[in-house]
Parts: sequence; C-alpha cells; structure tokens
Amino acid sequence: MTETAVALTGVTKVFNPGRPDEVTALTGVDLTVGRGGFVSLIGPSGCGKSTLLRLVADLVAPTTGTVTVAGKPARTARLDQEYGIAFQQAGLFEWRTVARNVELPLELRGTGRRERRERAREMLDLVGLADFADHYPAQLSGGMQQRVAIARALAVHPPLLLMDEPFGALDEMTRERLQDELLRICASTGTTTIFVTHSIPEAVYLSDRVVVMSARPGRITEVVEVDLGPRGEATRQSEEFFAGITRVRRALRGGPADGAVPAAAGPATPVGER
Amino acid sequence: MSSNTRRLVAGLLMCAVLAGCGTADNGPAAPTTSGGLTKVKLQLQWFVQAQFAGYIAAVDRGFYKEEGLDVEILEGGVDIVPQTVLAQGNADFAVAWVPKALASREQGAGITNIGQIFQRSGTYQVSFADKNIRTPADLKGKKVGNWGFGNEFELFAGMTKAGLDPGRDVTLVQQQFDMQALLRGDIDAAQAMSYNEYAQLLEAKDPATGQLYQPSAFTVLDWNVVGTAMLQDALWANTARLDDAAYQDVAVRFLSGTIKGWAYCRDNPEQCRDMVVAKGAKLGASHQLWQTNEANKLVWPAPNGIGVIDEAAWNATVDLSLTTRNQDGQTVLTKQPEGLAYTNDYVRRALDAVRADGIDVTGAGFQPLTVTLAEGGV
Amino acid sequence: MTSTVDPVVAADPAAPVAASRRRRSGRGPLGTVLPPLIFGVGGLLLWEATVVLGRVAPFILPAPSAIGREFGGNLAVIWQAGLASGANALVGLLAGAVVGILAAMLAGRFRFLGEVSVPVAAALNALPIIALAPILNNMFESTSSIPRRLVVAIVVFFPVFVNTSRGLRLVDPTHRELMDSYAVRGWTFTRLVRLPGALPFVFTGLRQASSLAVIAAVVAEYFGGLQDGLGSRITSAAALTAYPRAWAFVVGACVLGLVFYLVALGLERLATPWRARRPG
Repeated sequence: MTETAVALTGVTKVFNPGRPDEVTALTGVDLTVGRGGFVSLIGPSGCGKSTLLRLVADLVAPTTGTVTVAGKPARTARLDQEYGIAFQQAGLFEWRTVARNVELPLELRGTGRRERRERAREMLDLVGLADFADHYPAQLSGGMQQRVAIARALAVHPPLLLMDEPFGALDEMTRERLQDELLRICASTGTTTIFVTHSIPEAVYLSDRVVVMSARPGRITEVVEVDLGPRGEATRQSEEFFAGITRVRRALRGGPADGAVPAAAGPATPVGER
Repeated sequence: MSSNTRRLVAGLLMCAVLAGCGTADNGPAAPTTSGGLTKVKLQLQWFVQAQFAGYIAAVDRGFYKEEGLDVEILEGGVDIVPQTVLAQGNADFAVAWVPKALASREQGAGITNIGQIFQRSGTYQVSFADKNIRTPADLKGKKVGNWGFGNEFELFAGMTKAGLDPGRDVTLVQQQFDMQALLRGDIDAAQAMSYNEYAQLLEAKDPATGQLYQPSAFTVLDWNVVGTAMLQDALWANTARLDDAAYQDVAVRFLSGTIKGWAYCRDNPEQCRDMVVAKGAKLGASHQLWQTNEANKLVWPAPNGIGVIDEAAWNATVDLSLTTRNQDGQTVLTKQPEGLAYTNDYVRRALDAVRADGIDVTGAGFQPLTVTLAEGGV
Repeated sequence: MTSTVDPVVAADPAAPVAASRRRRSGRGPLGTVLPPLIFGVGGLLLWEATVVLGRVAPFILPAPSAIGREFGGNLAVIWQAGLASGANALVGLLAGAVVGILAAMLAGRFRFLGEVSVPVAAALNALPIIALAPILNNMFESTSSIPRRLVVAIVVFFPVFVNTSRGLRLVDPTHRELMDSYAVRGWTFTRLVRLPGALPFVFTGLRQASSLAVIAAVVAEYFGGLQDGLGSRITSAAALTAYPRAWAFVVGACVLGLVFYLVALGLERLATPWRARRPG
C-alpha cells in the first residue's frame, strides 16, 4: 500500500461568494497523489490549476471539501513546512547572496548557522551552482535564479514540491535543460511533485500523470497516464512521447483520448512509486 | 555651415553679448523727457521711511518739478544694493552710505559722491543701563550684536580703538534688523540707528513697570562722540555720465530740489511725516515723526551748507575703511579710492541757486523737536 | 574580447550575455573621467576670456582667476566656516533622516496614518524654508545653532520620508506568497523582507537629502542667528560688493555639498552591496 502524499476530496473554491464578482474557480475536485509521484496540472487559463496548487499549499482555503498533505490538514502541513514552493518569478531576495537565499527556510525554522550553511551548500551542489554561493541574484541569469529557487524550495528536504509554471519565463533551451535537472533532483531526493504548466510537451516529459483541467467552472476533466521510462536525449524524439502529447492534446480539446476514461468524478487511482 | 561651426558661432556671439554687459566702458546715455520734464530715477538706500523725508517732500511739494525734473523714487530693500543699481544704469542717482559705495567703486562700479546729505552718523550701540556699558572698552566679555552686511565697521573701529580684539574679547552675534534680541536679553549691546531701531526700544513696554521704556533705561555709544563714525547717506551719480553736460545740468537741478526738500522738512517736520506715511512707510505715524526729527539732526546744522563733503570727515572715513578689520579680517577697502570719488562742484552750484531764492541752507538755528512715542510706533 | 572565461557563461551557456560587458574592459576609468574634466576646464577658460576680453567689472561677474585667488587667500576662514555649516548640515541631516524613516515605518504600519500623512507632507513640503528660518530664529536664543539645524532637519525629512515610504510599500507579490508559504507575517516579515527591500530607497532619499542639507544649512544663515557658517560669509562679502570673495565662499559651499553627497554615495555602496555588482 503506497503512501498518499496529497489528497483533495470534494474540493470547491468560490471567490467572493455572494458578491457580484463571484467566481467559481474549482468545483468537484478529487485528486490523490502518491508518494514520489510527479503530477502535472495543465489547462486553459481560468481552469483553476494555480488555485488548485495554492489550495494544496494552503495559500487559499477551500470553500468546501478537505485538503490533506502528508496525512495532515493543509494548514498544519504549511506550518510544519511539509512542502517547498517555486513560482514563475524566482522571488529571490536580491539583498541576500545566493547561499543566504537558499538558507531562508532553514533560518525560519531555527536551524543553526553551521548546519544551514552546509545544507545550503549541499542544495547548491545539487542544482549545479556551488560556485555561485556568494554571488547576488542580480548577477545570475533567469535560469540560474530559478535553479536557486528550486534549491531553496528543497532546502528543508520537504517531501512535497509545488511548482507554479516555474520555467514559464525562460527560453526553450534553458527550459529543456532545467526539466532534465528537475527530474534528476526529484529522483535523487524522492520528492513528490505537483507541477503547474501550460506547455503540453513539458507536462508529458516530466510527469507520470497529467491532470487535464478545463474552465467555467474549473474542474478536472481527465487524468492521462504517462510512462516514458528513464528520460534521455532520445525520449524527446520517441513515439511514446508524441503519443502522450497527442493524448493530452485531445483531452484538452474535450474528446476522449485513446483508452482513457473521462474522470469527471470519482477518485483517480494512485500510481505506485517510481 | 556645419552644425559644429554653427554652435561655435553661437557660443562666440553669446560671449560677445556677455562682454557687452561689462560696464568698464559705459558711455553716456541721454536722459529721457516727458511733457517737457526730464525723467530722473532716484534709488533709495532702504524701504520708504522718514530717513528719506527730504526727497519725498521734494517730489510731493513740487520742488523737483520747479527744477524741470520728474523724479521717480525707487524703494530699496534687503537685497537691493543702491550703488550697483546706479552703476548699471538702472537709476540716475542713488542714496548710499559712503563706505559701502566706496567698496563697490573698488569693484568697478563707476560712481561719484555729489552730495553728503547726512553730515553725521546715526549709528548707536545701545544697551540696558544696568549693564554699565558707557565706553567701547566696557564691551569686553559681552555679547555684542551687529547687523553685519557692511554695517559693522564703526563698531569694530570703536572696539579696536579701545584696545579690544573683536574676535577674542567679545562674543559677536548676528542681529536681525529689530531690537528683539536686546529686549529678550540674548545680547548685551545691540546695533541701532538713532532714527529707527532706537525708537523701537522706546516704543516697547517695560514688563517690570508696564510703561514704555524711557531713554534713561538705556546707555548709548554714539560713534560720532567716540570718534569712529563713518559718513552715511550721500547722493551718488554715475561717473561716466558726468562727462555729459546734460547730465551735469540735471545733477545740479536735482541737488537744488533735494536741498529745498530737506529745508522744508527741517521747518515742517509734521507735514513731512504725513507725506512719508502717505507714501506707504512700514512703521506708524509717531515713529515716522521721530525718524524725521532724528534725520534732521543728522543733516542740520550744516555750517558749510547741506550736502557739502567735508574733506576731513571724508579722509577719516576712508582711513577707517582701509584699516578697520571685521570678524573675518576683511577691511572695507584695500586701496585708496581712485578717480573721481567725490566732488563738491555740483552741490556748490545748487547751494548758490537755492540761497538766491532766500532759503536757509545751513540750518544754523535748527531746534529739534521733542517727540513722544506711542507703543508699537503708531 | 576578454581572455578570461565569463563564469556566468560557463555555468549557463544559454544565458544572454550583454555585449557591453565585453566592451567595457577596453574603456578604462580615464575614459569616463576625462571628458567631463575637459568640459569643465574649457568652461572656466571661456568664462575667464569673456570677463577679461569684455572688461566686465568684478561687481557684475568676477573672473575665475579672481575667485581662485580669493579662495586661496581665505582658506582658513573657508575651512572654519565650512566646519560650522557642515556641523549644522550633519546634525540636521541625521535628525531629519531618523524622523523621516520612523515616520515612514509608522505610516506603513498604520494605513490610516499613511493616508493622512501624504497630503500633510505635500502641504508642508510646499512651505519654503525661507518662511521658517526667521520664525525659528526668534523662537530660540540668538546664539543658538538649533534654528538652522531644525531648518535642515525639516528640509531633509521630506525626501527621506517619501522615498522610505515607497520602499516599504513596494513588496514583490512573489515574496509575499513565499513568506505566506512559510507562515511568516508581522514583524518577522517586516524584518526579513520589507526593511532590507526598502534599504535602496532609503539611501536614494539620503543621497537627495545630503545635498539639500548643505544648501539648507547655508541659506538658513541668511536670515540671522549665529553667523559662523558659509552663508553669512557669502552675504557679508556680497554686502561689501566683494563678489570674488563671495563666489569663493560659494565654491566652498559647493565643495561641502559634494563631500556630503559622496559620503552618502559611499555609505550606499557599503550598505547595499548587491546593487553595485550588477552584470553588464
């Protein structure tokens, strides 16, 4: 029996209820993510994918339903720093060096200076930026800043990593490289990842499962299973890759993908560990 | 022309224009006429007040008009340097103190003293009687206020003559152009003009008695008595224009009108006070009467005739200007005045003309009034 | 073309490298200092030529050579007066800056205060210091330095307050969300995010304020009170029509203002090192 990392049950989110600008961002969401899994959320704008991520992060509260992270309510999980989060903007503190930025979550949980420094060094090694520990963020390129943001997100070794279109502002070549880096890091740390994107190839390349969403109201329309095996140069040219892209594209358009059952309601089956 | 050449030409043209502003060779300019009268501008040394009663009376009573002049009086102020206004050609004559005007002359202002209206200095250094400051030597160790701005040299000369080192033996304090600092006790001795600020003291209420201060409450150091007085209100003309016969003629006529004006104020102080007040003087009627009276005391008696520049007094002023150092170690002048610094030619001709009209120009029998002041000078 | 390998490029070949970074190594410090220097010297020569050739009298416009002579001849007085004005400017600057920063922090903390303070600050800023100086002089003893220092403090308050307020207000929304994810709010958030983020703005305000402080200290002296600084020297020289000397004191005031500005700039570099080391 594999552990469930994240579980959303019967979740709806309505913004500004009862007011003229009321909007239903999400309705009837049931989703489970198993430990070590990599799940992408993809859909048109307004489908609620970022809202869903923020529900998991407890940055917004659900109107109905429950959100569980690592077996605890989302709020507790946030206070216990059970996840790390990365946004589209790297959001580094420009007044801190790269190392001190990575140390931030450790500092907040009261870790001692020596241990902080070691852990930061470790994470920077992981993302390949050990030489830049004493640089300031303004001296780094966009891609490097995102890598630092990932290092920061993982600094406390959280079991869960949440990412909101983190590579959206980067160019294609950097994006592909960082995708490989991310997979490598997640594999070596065993982190569960929920990844919001609007790029179909990115979703297919990175994930075990692609959660396809649609708007008005925001809901999950389908979950596409993907199994590309170990990723490499060849993967981006492979049949399975293009097939996966096609399935996801069809799901986004609304038609049934081959062999996939529209999962408008009812729990999705958790995937085993990689 | 390429754009670079054009810029160069523009720059050179600008320099030429600026050079044209130089006054080192200002040629004579013809005075303008209106309705048969010659227009004349007189720049005063300060704001309109009874210190200038004679000129105001000469305008209001038509003495200038009799001489064929239409005189416009330009009011002075804190940042207006009358001798500079004259030197730059923005006035035809100016009232200015001799040391300051000589300093401007040294810096290239082409002006000449044509009439020493005030024969005596009106500068006092006043203190409360209980401070016992009866001679300049008594200023030692005291807080001594002065206005700076070139007004301080009589004081410094007085202190130096008494053997004091102004930088070390007294505490020098910048004074506002009022008597508040003395009344509040911030300073021990304050600079005051006999015809202006001194009256402000006598217009203030003594908190101890509830009555106005009396002269007996104060001691006054009068620089005329000490011997370090310097010549003050004089009439200055533009030196370059004095080569022009027309301007010379205007100068004589202007002096004639002025003499008649001052003679009138000597004999009719209340009427002169009224004219000054009507012209918009800042302080009230009783204050202006005091000022008229005190100004008269500085003008009359004038044994040689009003406006004549006495050579001994002139030399004493120049001497003090060359030797007295203020708190920065600066003197008023660094060398003897060159060129035509003063001349009695025009004022003598004016005196002859006015005397011929039967007007008293020496004021030998002049008796000053006793003026009662009111609170606030109203 | 540099011969050393650009570390950023080595770590991230796809990173866009500004072309100017490669070019900059060719144009050394001399290249930046020389043109303004030549321009300044040229301007002075033109000024001298205009005065000499046009035979402009000193009381209209003195020649730079005359000003230079007076400057050299009055060095001791300029130094003493400069120290006095500098002390006034410094005390006023520190006082005004501290009050400005505290006020900005209060205005940021209590929204109501912030909304009230903006129009009040704007109205007060419109008041010319000229109106304040004589009033303050009368409130205090004639020999006190406090009125001038107060004038400086008031003048300094506004740029510091306005810039610090802006800095405290501008919080990156990503930082906000990030700190929410860490459950950080209140004073910790202020300490970790708002204050360091506001620091560059504070120093912008201080840099503006530093030159203003010297100007205010000098000009406030025009209106009476203790006359130990550069302002009184300028006016007394002008009253004696000794304009070359007056200009010499003005030059002294300029030098003082420059010193203040450079010190503020230096402090900024020290306190916000991350801004200095920008690429390209």
